[in-house]
Amino acid sequence: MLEVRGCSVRFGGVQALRDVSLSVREGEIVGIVGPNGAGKTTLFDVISGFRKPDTGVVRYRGRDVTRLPAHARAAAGIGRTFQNLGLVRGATVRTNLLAAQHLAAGYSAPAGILGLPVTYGSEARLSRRADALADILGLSGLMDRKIDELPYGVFKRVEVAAALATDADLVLLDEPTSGMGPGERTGFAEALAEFRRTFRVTVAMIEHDVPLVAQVCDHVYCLNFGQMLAEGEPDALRSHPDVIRAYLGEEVPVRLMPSSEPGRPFLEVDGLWVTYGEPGRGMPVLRDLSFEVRHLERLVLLGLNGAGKTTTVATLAGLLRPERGSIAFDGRDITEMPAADRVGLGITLVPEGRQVFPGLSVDHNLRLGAWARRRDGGYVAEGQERVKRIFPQLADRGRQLAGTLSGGEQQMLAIGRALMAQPRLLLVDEASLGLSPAITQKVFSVLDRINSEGVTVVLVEQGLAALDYADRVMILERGELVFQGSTTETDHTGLRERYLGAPVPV
Amino acid sequence: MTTTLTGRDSVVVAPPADRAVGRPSAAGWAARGAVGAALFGLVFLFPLTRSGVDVNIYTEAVIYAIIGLSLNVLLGYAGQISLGHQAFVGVGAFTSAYMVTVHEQNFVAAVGIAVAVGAAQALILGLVSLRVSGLYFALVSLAYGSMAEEWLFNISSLTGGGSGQPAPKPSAFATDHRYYYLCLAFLALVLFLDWRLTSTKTGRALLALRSNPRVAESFGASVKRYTLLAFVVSGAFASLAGALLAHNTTRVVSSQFQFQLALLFVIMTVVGGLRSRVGVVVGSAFFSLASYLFDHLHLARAVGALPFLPNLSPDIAPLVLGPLLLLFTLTRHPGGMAEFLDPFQRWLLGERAKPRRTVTIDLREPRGSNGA
Repeated sequence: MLEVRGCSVRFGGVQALRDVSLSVREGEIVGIVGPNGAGKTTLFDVISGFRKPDTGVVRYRGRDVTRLPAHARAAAGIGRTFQNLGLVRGATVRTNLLAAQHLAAGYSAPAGILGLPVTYGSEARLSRRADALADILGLSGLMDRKIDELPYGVFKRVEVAAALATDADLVLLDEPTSGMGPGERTGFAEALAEFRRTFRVTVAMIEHDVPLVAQVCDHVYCLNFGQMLAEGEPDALRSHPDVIRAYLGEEVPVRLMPSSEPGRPFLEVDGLWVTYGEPGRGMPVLRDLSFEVRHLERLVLLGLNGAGKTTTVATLAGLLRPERGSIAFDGRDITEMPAADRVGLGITLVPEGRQVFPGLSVDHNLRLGAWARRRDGGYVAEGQERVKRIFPQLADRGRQLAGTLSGGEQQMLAIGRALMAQPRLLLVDEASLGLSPAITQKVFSVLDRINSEGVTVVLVEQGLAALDYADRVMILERGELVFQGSTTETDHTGLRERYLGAPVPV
Repeated sequence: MTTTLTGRDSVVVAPPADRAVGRPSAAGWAARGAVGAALFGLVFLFPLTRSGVDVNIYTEAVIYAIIGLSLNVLLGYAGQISLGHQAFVGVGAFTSAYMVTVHEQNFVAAVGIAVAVGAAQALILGLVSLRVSGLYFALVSLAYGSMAEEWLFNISSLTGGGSGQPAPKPSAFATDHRYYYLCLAFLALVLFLDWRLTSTKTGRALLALRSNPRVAESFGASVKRYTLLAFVVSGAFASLAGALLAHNTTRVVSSQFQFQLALLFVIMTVVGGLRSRVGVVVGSAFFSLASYLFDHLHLARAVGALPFLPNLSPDIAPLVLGPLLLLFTLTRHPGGMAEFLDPFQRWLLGERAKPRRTVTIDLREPRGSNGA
């Protein structure tokens, strides 16, 4: 039904997809898995026409659609949802279900504007079909509610209803279960199977919940670094060594050092709830999260995409406001404190994807890190000296533009910039993202040294690369803390089961 | 409505805190009847009691309402800013005057051609908007407006140059009073077209497009095509208004279409309330009549007495009042006048809010259990 052959996409210097091929047969449910930044959404964009591949062909029902624009592909029968954006905001459920039936209207746009008689009958028909769809999905009583007023689980359901309303034969679902609780996910799996029967749709879905994918999909593809790593039956794929490596990283021989003396409680988080969207009905990302970080500890926060890791550190840094719960730092309640003041107190975040200022020089990037003390020239110069001592690679590159540095050097600059604020608590979000294992190890060993100079460090990671450099591990799953313990108690097999589900004997 | 979604099998969606209105009582109907009759009297009968000079001004207010609706299509539905809308109106005005005076066409044909030309020039600008967007397109439309004012409207063979082009009223509607009712009929037509636009697939496609172009595309609506359609519809409405304006003043000159007019058009549409027909009509009429009201209600003298607004002449009242009201609208009442007019309109029509029920949705089953 759908065939993607040898597609490659480049964004600037990044190869987002490299020679990717995939095929979907009529009536199948196909899953696409892979870690953060693997190119999954880009692949969906190529299939649905939002991005033209640099090379390669997309065939739908035997017809070459590579050059067709997105709306023409929708007309050909390819429907899709977007991660939490796939609806008309501010409009009612009814309006959304009517808008989704755009292609089924049966009259031309000018005829509608001129109010020609034929349009009234068509509108009535569309309305009846919307009602019927809403009935099947259990949304009947909500037709006149604005979608933004709906609780998250119901909102997701409207998204699916809209995708079905487009009357697509092939539906692409982008992370359909993100933000759902366990009960809802089970419900979703059942609903999906029923839709396939009732509507005879073929489904391709991007999903991080590998056990769920294994449950509902007939065939699974795994992407990593823009390349198709493996494909096959769901259970076989779960035990595929390449897939395990993509999710967990290279296995490093664990040489555990005796963990340092646990210090006094430094950061105390209690009952934290964070929601994206409107309070009370948005998408819950952190659910009642409580933990503490001890002084001079090295803590690593693990979890899959969407587990809430970035949200956790962003909330600690003050970039997000919790809906409920409290945060205390060094004995002081900082829940309501703005981000800039937290930096002054000694909490600094190294954001995911480095976020250096690409158009500024290395020196200027570092100087901006000392913003709070920008008038103190001596302090700034001293700080720059210190950072360049820690990262000799940056020493003779003071005038080079940050955007021209390699990924590893940018990561070092981002950490260096954070150090300019003289943090007491350093939060590092996915330092290893997109870096080779060797560079990753180098970055971690520097963080280790920074820690020994009196800085408490919280690392956020998806894979296991950081385990060697941490005293304690916390694992987040769907916004909840599911495991915490010292690094000695955590083993690869246990984590692998958490990520990919229990291994199945093949 | 609170829900945790944590492993729950169902969610309860409570009805929003909303007024539960019953059927209006007999007294309620009487009050609605009285207010409705008063409004009808104001629009349809009151002008009969006034002189032709005054009615000419009221006619302009009706035409401004059409201009407001035209800009609303671009700004409100398609989310495209136009700072050259006075050119859209001017193209219609000069085309119609040229057709009537130079080619001795009848009124209907002249207006028809004006609408077609207006739609075509809007299409061209629409094509530009597909290339440049946001602030840059606003600049392009602004430049287009001044180009029209300085050059296009001064080509003497087409526009009669500095002395302008005569545009007599059609013989059947030669008096100011008759012409007023003709313009009301055109306003009714535009309101009808706008209503059908918003209630059919074009309106929904534009809604989706404004919310997120990718969503519109995934529903099968071409972003390009519908953006252009919005330009064409807006251009047609604006040119119709321009043609009516030309014949209302009976002579068009290029100085009628200065940049400050484009500013006023944007202000009156936004203050009236984007995407609300009633709001846009009332807002546009209000700004059109502002100088007149200032004059007749002696507001100018009262405002002039204020120390911080000296020498406010009625002519510039809309341009002083406008920005102040715009600021107030944007900061306090983003829905514009419509925020107050829509509830009033609902009341007037005796509309009853549907009883809102609590809905329980079983998240485990695709066929949810609905009901009270």
